[in-house]
Parts: sequence; C-alpha cells; structure tokens
Amino acid sequence: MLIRNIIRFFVVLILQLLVFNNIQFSGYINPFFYVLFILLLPFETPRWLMLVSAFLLGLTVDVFGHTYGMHAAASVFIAFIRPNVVRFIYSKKEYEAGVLPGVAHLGFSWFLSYASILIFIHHFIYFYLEVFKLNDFMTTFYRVIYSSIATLIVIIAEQFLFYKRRK
Amino acid sequence: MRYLLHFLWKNSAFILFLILELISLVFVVNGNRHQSAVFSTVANQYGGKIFTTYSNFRNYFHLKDANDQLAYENAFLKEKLQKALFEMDSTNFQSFDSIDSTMFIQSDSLKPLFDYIPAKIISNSTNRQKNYLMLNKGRKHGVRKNMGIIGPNGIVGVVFETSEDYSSGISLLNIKQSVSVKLKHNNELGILIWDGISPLFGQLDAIENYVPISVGDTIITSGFSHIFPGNESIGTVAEFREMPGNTIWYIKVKFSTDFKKLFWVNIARNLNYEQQKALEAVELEN
Repeated sequence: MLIRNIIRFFVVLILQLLVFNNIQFSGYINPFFYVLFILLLPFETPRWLMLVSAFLLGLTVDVFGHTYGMHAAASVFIAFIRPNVVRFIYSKKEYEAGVLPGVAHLGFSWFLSYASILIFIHHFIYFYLEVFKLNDFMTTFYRVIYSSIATLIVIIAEQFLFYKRRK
Repeated sequence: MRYLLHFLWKNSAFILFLILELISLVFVVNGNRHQSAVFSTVANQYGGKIFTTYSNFRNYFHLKDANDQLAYENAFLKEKLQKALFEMDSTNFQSFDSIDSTMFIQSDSLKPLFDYIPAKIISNSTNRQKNYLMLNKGRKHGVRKNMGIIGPNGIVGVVFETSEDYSSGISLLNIKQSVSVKLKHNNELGILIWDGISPLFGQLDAIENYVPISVGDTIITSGFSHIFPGNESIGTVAEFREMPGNTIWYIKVKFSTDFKKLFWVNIARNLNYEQQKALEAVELEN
C-alpha cells in the first residue's frame, strides 16, 4: 500500500509537469491533476504524513512551474481539511478497515462530492494566490470554476479507466 | 508545562499545518516581490534536463508548424537583408553609395547594436496569470539576465534567470511584465501590458486619446528599453475605445506571435547594455 502511494506520488507529478501543465486550451483552463494523489491517500494515513507529502508534492510542482509556493499552500490546506470533508459527506462504509477513498470502494456519487469539494477549495486558494489581489474578483472566480471542472473531469476519467468497481 | 506539552501533542497536526502553510506563504510573498533565486536555480538545472527530453518528443509532433515558422522567418530575413546590411546608428552616419563601399569604412557606426543567440523553447505556458518559458541556452552560451527573447513573428519575453546550460524568461503573457512600445505610423509611445485573460490579446496603455488610431495599426518595440532592438513587431490594434473619465484610450492588441506554437526563438544581446545601464545609473543619482 505504501509503495503504491509512493509510486502514485511520482506518476501524478510527472503527468502534471509534462502533460497537464502543457494543456493550452484557453487562458482559463489548467487542470491540476496531481491533486488526485491527496484525494486517494488511505483514510488511515497519519495526519502529519498527509500534510508533509502534500507539501512536498505541491512544492515540486511549484519549483518546475515558477509558481513559488502557491501549489504547496493549496495542497497543504486540502490535506488538512480532508478528514473534515470526509466526515461531512455521509457514507456507511467509510470507516471500515481497508476501504479506500475512490469510486471503486465508495461509489460514484460519494467520490463526486468528495472530489469536487476538495478540488474547488484547492483551486480557489491557488488562483487567488496567483493573482495576489482581490480586484477582478469575478475574472479569477471564473478561472477557479473552469479549472475545477477540468480537473474533476480528468480525475474522474482516471478513476473509471484504472479502477474497476468492486461490489 | 505538562499541560502545554499535552496541548501541543493534541494539536500537533494543526501546528504542523500552520508551519507548512507559513513556509508556503513566505515563498509566495517572496516570489511575488522578486524572483526567488533558490527556486530558479533548482528549476533551471534539473527542470532543464527533463524538459529538453520532453520537448524533443513534443517537437516531433509539431515538425510542420516549426517548419512553417522557420520558412516564414527565412523569407522575412532575406527581404530585410536586401534593405540593409547592418542596423546602423544614424547619428554617426557616413554616406556611401554602394554596399561594396561599406567594406572600407571602419567606423563605429557600422557596429551592430544587437546580436542574436538562437535558442529552442523547452518549456512554455500560456494558461496562467504569470507565464514563463525555458530556453536551452544559458550562461555558457552568453545568455544573461534582461536579454530580449524574439520569436519568428515578434517579441516573446525577457530573460530573468540563467544557469550554466539553460535560462528562464518571463513571457509577455505575464501580468507583471510590461514593454515599451510605439505605434508604427506616428511613433507615439505606449506601454504594452497583459491583463491575464486571453493569450491572443494584450493591452496597450498610456496612449492619450487625442492621438488618432485605427483598427489594424501596427505596434512595434520602441527601442528605448535596452532589452529589445527597435522596430520588432508585437501586434496590431484589434479594438479601441474611450474609457469614461480617463484621458487615455483602451486599446486591445492582437499579438503577432502565437504563444501556443513557439519552438525556436532568438535571444537579443544588446552589445552596449552595460554602458547604457551605467549612464542611466548616473542620471538617477543626479
């Protein structure tokens, strides 16, 4: 399990840097696929490990994208509030041992609400740190919305492509 | 004391969270004020190698685009060559009647003001508020901070950080970047900025609204910045209107460069950069 997550850390990082940072669709859309790593960490992960790994992941994306700590700040924040979000979304299966956050174990609607809340918060923090000012609030807000949707689509596509649903 | 330790232990996750957020925000604030040296060095040295491999792969799929661009530039340069052998400093001009006679004039006026270092773009973004590009030439090849980056269809950005083998540039598509430009037909000076919305359009600032302009007017570099040579193309006026309560036009500029399809660029080296900067420093002191 640990090794699987370590491998996932590097895979999402490489995909983010080489593929998703190069999606030049419009001035608005930039999917942050790497958030998937934080979403899929097992429920039993110690909190400090979750925070530190999210920090390292965000910081690496920052270093290669000239974004100076913005991804790190957003990633650490969602890693910290993740347990609260999990508690907020109702599911019977959540705390059974061995259950992983993902479409395969907890179903599509659970994953959709879980992923969209965390992705929205992450993108919200990132895009406002990026412009670093509050005028043009709505312009930045559109970027948050469009990019959140793009990230969500990519992450859900990944879930359906690589994880078969377990009954 | 025991209670304090107990408190810290109970809230250790929260304290760790605060520390990590604080570190991130220090990076954000410093990065916004001045480019962080640590970040850039790491990104340039290691990122350069990774992105080179990747860009070789990417270029393979865009050979046709790259080819078209180079062919276009070639034609353009051939035309330019016929018009002038050197870019000359006209204040020190010595007349001659044929190109052959230039060979015999040993004058400073015939020294070119800029020379060019060809480079390949290995990483480029257009979808952020602050876009950057990375080039496969560095200090070893003579690239220094504050050199202009010029693509086949016009200017692209400015070098801000170099390592031994690679360099990073701030793209024109960066809300913190501004370039001194002018309107071609009447030499009216303005400032080109980017509003962070579309990678196709920039904004021309500081043109007073008594200046006549029309859609399609060409905008070129002013040559007053020490970074870019004059008369490099930038774009054309796409739209203009009066701003209520303001004496300057709102001018939307269509970039002549397609920033999404950039492969090869030239880095413009100002041969008199040190002299010009030194003079400027003296002016500021007085």
